[in-house]
Amino acid sequence: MKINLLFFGSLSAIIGNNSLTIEHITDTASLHLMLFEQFPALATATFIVALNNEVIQSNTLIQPGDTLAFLPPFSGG
Amino acid sequence: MNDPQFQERYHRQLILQGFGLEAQQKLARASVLVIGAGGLGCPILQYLAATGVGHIGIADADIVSLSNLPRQILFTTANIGQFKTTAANETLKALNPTVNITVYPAYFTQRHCIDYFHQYDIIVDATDNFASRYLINDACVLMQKPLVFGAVSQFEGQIAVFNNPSLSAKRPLNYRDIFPIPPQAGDVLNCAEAGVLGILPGIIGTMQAMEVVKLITGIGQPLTDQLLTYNALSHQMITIKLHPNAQMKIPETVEAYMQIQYDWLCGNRVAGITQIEPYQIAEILSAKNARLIDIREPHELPEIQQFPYISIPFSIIKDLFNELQHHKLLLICQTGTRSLQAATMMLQQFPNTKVYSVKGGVNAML
Repeated sequence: MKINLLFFGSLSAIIGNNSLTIEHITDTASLHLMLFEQFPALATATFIVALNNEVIQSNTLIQPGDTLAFLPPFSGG
Repeated sequence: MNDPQFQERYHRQLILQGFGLEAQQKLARASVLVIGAGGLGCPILQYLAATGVGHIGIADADIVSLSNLPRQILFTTANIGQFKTTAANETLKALNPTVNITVYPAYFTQRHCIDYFHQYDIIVDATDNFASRYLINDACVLMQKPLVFGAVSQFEGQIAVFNNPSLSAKRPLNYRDIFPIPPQAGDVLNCAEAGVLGILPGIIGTMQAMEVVKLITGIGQPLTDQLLTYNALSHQMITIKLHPNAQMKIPETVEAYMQIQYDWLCGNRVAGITQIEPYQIAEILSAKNARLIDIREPHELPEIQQFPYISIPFSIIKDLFNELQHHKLLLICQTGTRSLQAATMMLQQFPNTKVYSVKGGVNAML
């Protein structure tokens, strides 16, 4: 089973896509490491992560089929 | 409500199941302060006035310019050069003369928040920069005012309702529960720098107006302690449930609040850098080692026509500081935000560099 990643705002420009489907990874810390390695600009970007539509603030286990959203702050008006 | 045309004007709302006279009367008694009369503020103001909110405050220091018109729908070509507050007041009065409008043709500071927030039931953040957003957020927490937040970036927008006391004993959340520390200028481009399609703030602003009406009348479920993100290209919408953040810190007293330098916090103003007006460019370039550097990305328009320049995009300029440090540098971007940020980074590494930032950027040269 895979997991789904959604990227918003400037993050989708870094990833080059607004979604990715990848092989299951055990937790959000490992996912971050994997993404930072592949997309170094992500490591310095400001964003929050939501797991299945709920914000997470520390390392969290990921279940197969989960959706993670990466959301940066917007300032425009 | 004393208006003889009340029944006729609000007929469709009065006959609406789940809304009706009671909700309409709540709107008439409500007061809402909208900070920013731009892309978000215009549709918010238009719908709040049309729907019948009794008292509306409008805060904006800007004047109407031609590049505002594709999204700031309260204004017409004839309004160019007028204060946005004046033009908005006229349009809204014509739309609904029964609404009371107070205008603040001012850039909202901490003092304004402390002096005026208590006169309103709800505050709406329709600004376009982080310094204002954090300043407004902190004041709303301090003064216990519900805040309807909206922000856009290119084809996407965010909406949230902060500081709305919920029925549970839980502390109401605010913007600092999501992003405790303001991002630095340059990290996140604003609309003037990154561009925006006018319809997008129209959609987000209209959604903010809907949240205001929900808060006032009690209908539906406002986005309390949630962050909605909308993508106009895909119509994808995601609503995130927020949680209290242990890192969240708000000044606890008015005195502490007044001490915070929000512009500094967001990297907007920095000591040691001379900001110059566009008319001073020629004078500074007359020095023989002076260089005008356009730090915009290659796709950004218009091209500079008036002066010879070198193009070094913001994304790579860091790597060239060493070569640049012996020149007199005049940095320019689209609006003056990124050039200030780049100048700051340069001075941190090479404190003796002569570096200037063009205030207002290429936009100010047009």
